[in-house]
Amino acid sequence: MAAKPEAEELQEDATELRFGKDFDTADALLVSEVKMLLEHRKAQHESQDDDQDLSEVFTKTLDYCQTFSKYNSRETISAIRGALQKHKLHKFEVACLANLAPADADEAKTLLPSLQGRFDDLELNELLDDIRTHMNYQY
Amino acid sequence: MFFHIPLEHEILLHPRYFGPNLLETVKKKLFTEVEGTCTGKHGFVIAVTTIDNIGLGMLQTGRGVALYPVKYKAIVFRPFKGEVLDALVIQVNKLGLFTQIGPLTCFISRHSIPPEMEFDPNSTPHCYRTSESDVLIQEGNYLRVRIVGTRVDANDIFAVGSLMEDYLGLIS
Repeated sequence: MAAKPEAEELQEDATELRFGKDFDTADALLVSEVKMLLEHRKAQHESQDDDQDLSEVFTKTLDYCQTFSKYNSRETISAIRGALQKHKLHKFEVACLANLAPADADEAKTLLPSLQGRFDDLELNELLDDIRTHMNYQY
Repeated sequence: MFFHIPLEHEILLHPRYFGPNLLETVKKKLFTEVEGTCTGKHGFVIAVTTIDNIGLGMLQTGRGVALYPVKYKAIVFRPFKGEVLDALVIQVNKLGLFTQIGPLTCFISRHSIPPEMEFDPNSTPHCYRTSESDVLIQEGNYLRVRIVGTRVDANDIFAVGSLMEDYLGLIS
């Protein structure tokens, strides 16, 4: 019995889309979504003037999300999610593609090996163009 | 990767809180007890988003405190082996690079940095660079990293990353 959890851990591998039972069907979030949720939470916290500070994990994460967030409106995010959901992608892949925004099919397949063999370059390029269009036309 | 997942937690409540604001106290305690914690199974719990259900409190025999099972949803950050993430360089030394990915610290050994890049101890701040100096990594730079392994402590996760692949490394 003792060896069981260890074996489960060894199997986790994002390149093959194995995340263990708790995360296999979990909703993956974009960095931009996390940024919005945390900013909302921070504003709420400040208006309450709680005597307790937000945790270090919270502030570090907010800093990270503000640095690496690519999309600045809800509309852009839902448009991109909509565009990606038309394809047969895992939730994790949707979030990765949107977060990393690879320039071409080859880059996408290198960064996310799980895409290899499931999509042809034409379809991937089309999808990445979609993301880029939304990214360039946000205000 | 960030996830939004359902979680459970048990709140122990002292009898002095048994009063009209009991459920408020349970909620407040949940926020302070789970936010900012880290477990190997679910990763860093960053923020509770919704509280779905507070179960019936169960008095603990001989102690007077009540135990409330709470179901809630939270934003968590859980690193997985093999995933690619953007990271911020926070420290550069001869062993390699220390980077920050949100709450997670990720170490990139010099053996996982492309061999044409070498540590330059004479520069301030310290950096890794190619001999022609056309690529330079120093503190404050942004990198694209592949997580090659994680180590779980009692209340922290530590990751090891690599830059040895196409499309990894400095990003603008």
